[in-house]
Amino acid sequence: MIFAEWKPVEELVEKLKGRKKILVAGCATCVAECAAGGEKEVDTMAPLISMGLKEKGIDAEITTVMVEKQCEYEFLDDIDAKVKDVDAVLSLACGIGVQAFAEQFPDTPIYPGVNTSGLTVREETGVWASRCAACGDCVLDETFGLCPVARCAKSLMNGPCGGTRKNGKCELNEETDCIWNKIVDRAEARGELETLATVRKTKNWSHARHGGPKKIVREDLKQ
Amino acid sequence: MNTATETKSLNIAILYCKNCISGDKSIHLSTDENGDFTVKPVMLPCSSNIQAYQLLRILDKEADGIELVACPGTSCEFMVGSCRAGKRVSYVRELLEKINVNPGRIGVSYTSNASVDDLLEIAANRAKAVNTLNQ
Repeated sequence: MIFAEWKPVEELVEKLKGRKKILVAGCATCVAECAAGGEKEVDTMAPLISMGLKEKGIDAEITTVMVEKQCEYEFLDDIDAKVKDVDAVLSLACGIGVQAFAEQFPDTPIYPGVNTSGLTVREETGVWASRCAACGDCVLDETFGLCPVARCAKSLMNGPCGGTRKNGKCELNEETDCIWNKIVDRAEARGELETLATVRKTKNWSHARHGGPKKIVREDLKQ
Repeated sequence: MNTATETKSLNIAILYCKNCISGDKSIHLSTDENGDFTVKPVMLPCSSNIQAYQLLRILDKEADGIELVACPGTSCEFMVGSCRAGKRVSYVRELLEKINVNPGRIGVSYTSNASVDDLLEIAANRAKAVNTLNQ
């Protein structure tokens, strides 16, 4: 899922201090899963903003709304009246949701309340780890289901770097596994170590960020 | 919230776990003898039943100070209720600090078999903390 974390609250209060009527908008999908922009977080953020502004001598009216998916325009139609009634929106959705919101309501200033930082898996309660970099050219079949793009600090495609620690950890962080060490372990366990010696096709990075903004058109679905 | 000049009318919310009270569980408290503060007692089935956003909402709109009264860690009927309550109060205090609001507006007390007088004393201590920090 898309992972996001709250921006520092003091930074948000500072940015919002010129606003009198603020709508805090949550999103019930990914950011709710990662406890950054769900109903509970919206209800936590609203009084914080209110108190932070009061501390600066500003009495702002803070309202809240939950959107099923801020990245889908049809869900945003439902909150039209609420948005028109405020002079700023603090969105706790991911960067996609914030932009969809801004496109739908171009006249209303919108502030992102979270920093969107990756595509993660929840390893345990309160712990998320990166799993996908949305590179657009998946090689997970060749790397035994472990992504070297997202999980190697250098996104190396052909094996570990020289900095891998003897205990199989990354040179940048002793708590992070060297993903290539894990790929080799898994290949070995499956008895397919020799497949890693195969010369593979060069990865096509043009589908990733390096190729500029992406737009995907599916003619079979397009109306 | 009251300002430093209004310290005579602090509103203190006492959110207490029903298991840490002796005798009648529904307590009625209003003001202390000197009228320095008013107390709003709210009984909870467990101190962990209150969430961070609820604590913040109370601090924003309803009370100058909050004391969450929980059972001592080892005697929590739900094992981890008191521990969770303590964590939530710490989290709220951290958030308050970030926005420059006095973290002393909220605290947690651990007690068992507390009487009405004990709760009043706890409320008085919280009121004192809020007052001191307001000045």
